[in-house]
Amino acid sequence: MTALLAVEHLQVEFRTEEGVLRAVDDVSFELQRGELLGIVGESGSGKSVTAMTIMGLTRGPNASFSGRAVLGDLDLVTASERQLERVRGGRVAMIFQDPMTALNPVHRVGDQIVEQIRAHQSENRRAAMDRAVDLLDRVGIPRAKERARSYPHEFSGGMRQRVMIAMALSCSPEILIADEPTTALDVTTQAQILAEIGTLRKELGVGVLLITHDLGVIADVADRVVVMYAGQVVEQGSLSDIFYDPRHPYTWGLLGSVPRLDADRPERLPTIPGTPPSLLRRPTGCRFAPRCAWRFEACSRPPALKSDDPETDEHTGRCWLDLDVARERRVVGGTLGLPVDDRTTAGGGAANP
Amino acid sequence: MTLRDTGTGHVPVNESAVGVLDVPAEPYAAGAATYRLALRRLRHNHRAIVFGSLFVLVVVLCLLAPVYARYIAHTGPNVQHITEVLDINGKSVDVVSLTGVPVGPTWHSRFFLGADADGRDLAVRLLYGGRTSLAIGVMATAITIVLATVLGLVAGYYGKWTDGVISRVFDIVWAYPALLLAIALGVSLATGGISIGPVQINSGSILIPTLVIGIVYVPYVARPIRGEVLALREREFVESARALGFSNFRIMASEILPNLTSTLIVFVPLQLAHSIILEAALSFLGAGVQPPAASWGTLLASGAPLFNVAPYLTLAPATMLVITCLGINVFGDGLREALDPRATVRTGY
Amino acid sequence: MARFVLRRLGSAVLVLFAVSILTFLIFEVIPNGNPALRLAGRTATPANIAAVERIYGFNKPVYVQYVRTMEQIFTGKIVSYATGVNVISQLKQALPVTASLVLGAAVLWLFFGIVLGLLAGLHAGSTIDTGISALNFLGISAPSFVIGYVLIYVFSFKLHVFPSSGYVGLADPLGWAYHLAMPWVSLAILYTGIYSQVLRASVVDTLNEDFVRTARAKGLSHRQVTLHHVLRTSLIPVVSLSGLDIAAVLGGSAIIIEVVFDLPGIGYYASQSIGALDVPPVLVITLFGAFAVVIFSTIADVVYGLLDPRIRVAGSR
Repeated sequence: MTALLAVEHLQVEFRTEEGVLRAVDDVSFELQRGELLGIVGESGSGKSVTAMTIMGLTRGPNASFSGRAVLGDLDLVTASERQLERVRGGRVAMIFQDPMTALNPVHRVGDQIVEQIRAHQSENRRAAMDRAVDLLDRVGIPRAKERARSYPHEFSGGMRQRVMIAMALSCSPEILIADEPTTALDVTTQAQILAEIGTLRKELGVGVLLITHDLGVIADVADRVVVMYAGQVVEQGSLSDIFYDPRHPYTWGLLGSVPRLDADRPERLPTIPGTPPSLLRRPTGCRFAPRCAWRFEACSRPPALKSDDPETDEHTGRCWLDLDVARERRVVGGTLGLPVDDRTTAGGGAANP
Repeated sequence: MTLRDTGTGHVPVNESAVGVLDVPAEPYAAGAATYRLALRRLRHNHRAIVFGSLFVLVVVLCLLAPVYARYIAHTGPNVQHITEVLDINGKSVDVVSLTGVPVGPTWHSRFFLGADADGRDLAVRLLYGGRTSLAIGVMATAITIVLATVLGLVAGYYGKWTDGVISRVFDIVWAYPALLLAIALGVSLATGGISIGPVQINSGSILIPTLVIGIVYVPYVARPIRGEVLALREREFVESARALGFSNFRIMASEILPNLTSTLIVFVPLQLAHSIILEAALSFLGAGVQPPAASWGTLLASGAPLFNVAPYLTLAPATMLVITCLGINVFGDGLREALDPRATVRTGY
Repeated sequence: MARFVLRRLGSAVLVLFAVSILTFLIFEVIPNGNPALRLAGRTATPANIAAVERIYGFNKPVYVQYVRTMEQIFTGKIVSYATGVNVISQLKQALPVTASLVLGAAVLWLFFGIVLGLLAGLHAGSTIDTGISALNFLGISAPSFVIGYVLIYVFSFKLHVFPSSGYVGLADPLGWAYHLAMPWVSLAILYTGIYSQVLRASVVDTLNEDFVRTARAKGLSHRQVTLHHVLRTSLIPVVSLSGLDIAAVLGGSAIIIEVVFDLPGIGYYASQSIGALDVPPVLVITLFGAFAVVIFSTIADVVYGLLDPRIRVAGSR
């Protein structure tokens, strides 16, 4: 089966005041029809830039790209602006982190949906508005007909995110990219929105790219997971690979910092010490090494993204540790995690100029 | 505690090239570092430096006016040479012709730019006039900034009826067409001078237009200051200073005021240019600097009636005025950009 | 909305009241300002002066004079001390001139300010941006009367294409525009610079807004994003600014341009009256100016509310 979307060796660089910043570095992954792929990483890991690049939204005089992002027979990295306009909101739709600011405050929400429908389909205003009301109703907005005439500030955060979802669905996209869709919402609303996205995927067969910094968010909904760090993919695999057999110490750290209900409550929720390296001055070897408790000599050279199972390359990791050693070391105090390392200097990025 | 740690409203965020990156910003220490960074940005802004230097050049030239008058032009700003005859390239030319037309630019040391209707050396008067215009501009700006800071601070910090009274007064001054107010004040004070108790200002003094200009602009600066103080008042470091029992004066002076510095710095060049232009406008209308004292505005006013026969009498001070304000405005814009990093975000759209 | 407008009008009355008192006081405190001296003529005897003081009521306390003067203003009977002409009828004659000047210039500056500001903002950092900002700096650094003189020098004295002075009524639309062309440009250049800068900053801010990213992610064309989302939102600060500026220029700031081009408008009238220390016209004109500021800023606030629904909610609460 050919993938719905294939990202191949994608690289994105920005020229800034302080130098060239490589935000995305040789990233590859595939998204299948009806699949929910989670992309996980801290701020600055390049996950959002990857998503925005797929949408063609990072283009600008200071940006340069290489690699491909193939949707059907179209490479989104090199597509013309006109081609991209048809893709955006049509074949690929996107919802954003902060529903407070993602909707234009001066236009009614109904009009904002109508605008998108009419950008892609030649439908008259009345018919488009009927569709918009149906969509609002479908994503669970009560009294949708009335509410379509409201302005964004008259909705709550969760309701606004539902509006965003309705808008994203308005042109029956093949792919839905959700960039931190629940971060700005409270926990209950979070669960509702995630459930909504899950339902849509099943009912409509949309491929979903769910971007988040929180492994907890994707634990219930994702099929496969890509873990990104400092612009690179550091681990990629199925949901169970990532949660039960993680290869990369960074993934261990992420897992260790997810609050768990099935284990004793630790005195303090563990965190990964240090901060991600500056994308302007990347470490020459493994980019996670400055923050890794298990680093050793080999880590001064860049590790490759490889599979340890000769049978399949479904589960890959970017670490020098042998699989057996890794399986031993990833258990901290009975659960998965990354121990705190005294050698870790505060601000890992700065330690490696 | 020091407020520099708790932060000014202008912590420079390391904004990305496109605004979509969530690259963690290096946590800059606010305060001193903010200004160091601003200075660095300013130094790299060649346009601002060039135009700033242009302004400095104008200032230096005007300060050297007496030197120019004495050693190059050999005349004073108010010395009339109506009846003299010049020898230019072997031809003899009246300084002021029988029909009242003054001589044009000679490009010689004396009457370099020509003479005015009274036979005075235009170049000398231009430099002396510049001293007056610049002096009024600087002093008026100082008055505006000081009054606006005090009133804005008090209104914003105390709120309630204090704010009510001060804001209403601003409303009134605001509703008053600024130029008309300045002219009315300028004319009425210029005819009689000011005498309030021991303070005596003569009717011809340049302090009168200075005061008028300084006061007219107060609400324009005080309003934004008040707004900032309103926001700062609610910040944690002010709360904690209050909890520590600091006096209101101390909180205003040492906690809030330093956080207003960058806003005030941005206002200085803006006001300087405004004040210089308003001085020219007032003097042009006869409500500012009074003759025989020269300023760019009075030079413009006295040149205007002769505009069709001797346009350089108007164009020379006009050029000086434009060059000066251009220098100030471009430099001021660079300053604003340097202090407000948001303004330097270049979007890729 | 109605309550909001009413409240604005209420405070407007207070402001006008204060403005009238302030104007009255400014001229009251002038030493040598006694208008009776001038009204009685050059060779007046003390008896003449006393007679004039009695007739005009200058010997009464200040507040009596104030009330009397205000009464005359509102009954339209107020006359100039210097010329004896009815001030309101003078104002009525001057108003069309100033209105023509200001509204024409406002059309110019709004159009060019918006076009240039939008261009500069959309291409922030490019050569277009640099070029436009150079123009802006020139505009805000050159006083309008200086521009006026330069225009007169070039187009009247050298090229003889435009008249250097005079006003022709709207009855002759071509002559009207022909005579006002240079005054319009002189006045508009400053504000074009300001508006273009304000709009540029606003556009740059708006471009960084999430909803612009959303609009692009929806697949809208560049044109649609620019006009319907970026420009529409960025215009909000320009609207509130233009209300105040049009009013300020209408209420007297056009004075210099009127003097330069010999246009018999309100500013011209004001400058002559101020020069003659003629209180009644000055009082009427400043009141008119303040009234214009209040009216136009109220209109601007209402339009502001229409443009930004968030304000509308806050205003009606």
